[in-house]
Amino acid sequence: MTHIIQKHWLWVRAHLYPPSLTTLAHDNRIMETARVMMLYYYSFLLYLSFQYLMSSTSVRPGFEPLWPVAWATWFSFDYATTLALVRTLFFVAAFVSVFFFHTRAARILVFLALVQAHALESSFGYINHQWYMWVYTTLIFVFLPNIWRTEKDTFENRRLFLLVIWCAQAIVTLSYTMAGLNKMIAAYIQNLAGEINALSIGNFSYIVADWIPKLQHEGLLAPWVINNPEWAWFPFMTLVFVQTFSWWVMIRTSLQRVWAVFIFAFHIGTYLTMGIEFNPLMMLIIFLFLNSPFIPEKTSLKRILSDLPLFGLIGRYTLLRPSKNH
Amino acid sequence: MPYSIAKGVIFSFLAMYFVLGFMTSFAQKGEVYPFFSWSLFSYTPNKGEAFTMEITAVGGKVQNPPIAFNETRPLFEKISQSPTQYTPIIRDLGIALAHNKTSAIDLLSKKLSLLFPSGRFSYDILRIEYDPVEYWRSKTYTTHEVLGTFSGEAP
Repeated sequence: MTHIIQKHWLWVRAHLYPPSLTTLAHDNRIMETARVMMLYYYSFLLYLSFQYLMSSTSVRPGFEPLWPVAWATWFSFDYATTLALVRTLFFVAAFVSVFFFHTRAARILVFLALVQAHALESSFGYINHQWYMWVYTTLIFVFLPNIWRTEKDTFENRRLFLLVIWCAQAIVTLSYTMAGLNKMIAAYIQNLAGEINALSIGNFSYIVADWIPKLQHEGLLAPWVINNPEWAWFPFMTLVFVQTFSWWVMIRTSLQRVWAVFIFAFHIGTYLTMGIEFNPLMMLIIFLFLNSPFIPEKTSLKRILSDLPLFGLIGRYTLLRPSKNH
Repeated sequence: MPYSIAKGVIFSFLAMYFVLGFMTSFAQKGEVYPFFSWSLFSYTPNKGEAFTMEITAVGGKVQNPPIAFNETRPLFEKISQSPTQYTPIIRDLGIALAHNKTSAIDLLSKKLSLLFPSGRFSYDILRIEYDPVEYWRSKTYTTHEVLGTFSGEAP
């Protein structure tokens, strides 16, 4: 019995465990990649804050402050005053963080400022989903140990540093997995009701056709998607599959770059069909995954294929199985 | 914090985010800041009933034919708003009108009346029966019925 449990546990460790950060923490190349990632991350945050600073100042009706900006109500500030304060705070905090992101105080400041900006933007009855991931990751990065200082660049801190980055990546991939699971659950419910659902041929045409009047934007590819429901079904099914298994790239990190490119292409596709922009999120995906420290230095196509969820497992025991003659 | 404890904290945090995120699906607005289920385009719209808005007058000038909701973006952009953000309010107002819920009608119509504060405007809330793909092709609803007429004015 113990032997069987041990055998299964070994299988779980071999197939379902993230890469060993203990091993990776010894590698100076990986640590340098992780450090540089933070510089890019906080630099883009400055750009984001600058864009926010320059955005429209028009007074918007229906200001209902969310709890992080409840102070606006306590001090009886109107939207214009609150916006001016939050914009200034976010820009100053982001500016400071570009130079001092290695200090926890600067990272806390920029996190708090971003929460203020995000909550303010979401205080009109509709939450801005674009910045959620930036809010979560700035919070997670607060916990980075300061390995930029030589005396603190210890093995234990290096492992913690990689763990914090892994966590930031994990929450991003988890959100895509949740989006995929929601589609699967909804497909099951709609299928029971005999309705067109996420897995039906032609569903993408219905989604695009229904959202065009709501978004009031007809993307370049929208007519093609609506007029070719059978062809449009394939990319949508691929999307559901990739979204659902997004979390898998935290275990099979050789897939991270491929996943990032796919998600980037998906967001471009969303713009071309429905005109929805996810620019800040796309940039975050690039910074966190395109040159991730967890991607093995030598990644072959065979490795990527064998690491794919479901297909990789099937392939591993069939096509990609090493020949017994060798 | 020791590495083994940090690992436990991180896995608990991710598990909590996953559970709380999904739980927000049951909240009134489908999310509770800062948690979200990430249910985006999960349900496929089918042929059926929906609610929409038509603007019948802007700045005191009667619009004939009325401006369909899907052509109102320029009006919303003038006030730095996105029309998409108003689709849930329009839907809820339609439901309240269909079920004659007076307090909800007052609350939701008041929210819409804050729109276009620079001038008077009037709008109808319609119950429509439509097929999204057919509507995209023909720009006509299968059936439509005006549930209520409202006017907005600068406060």
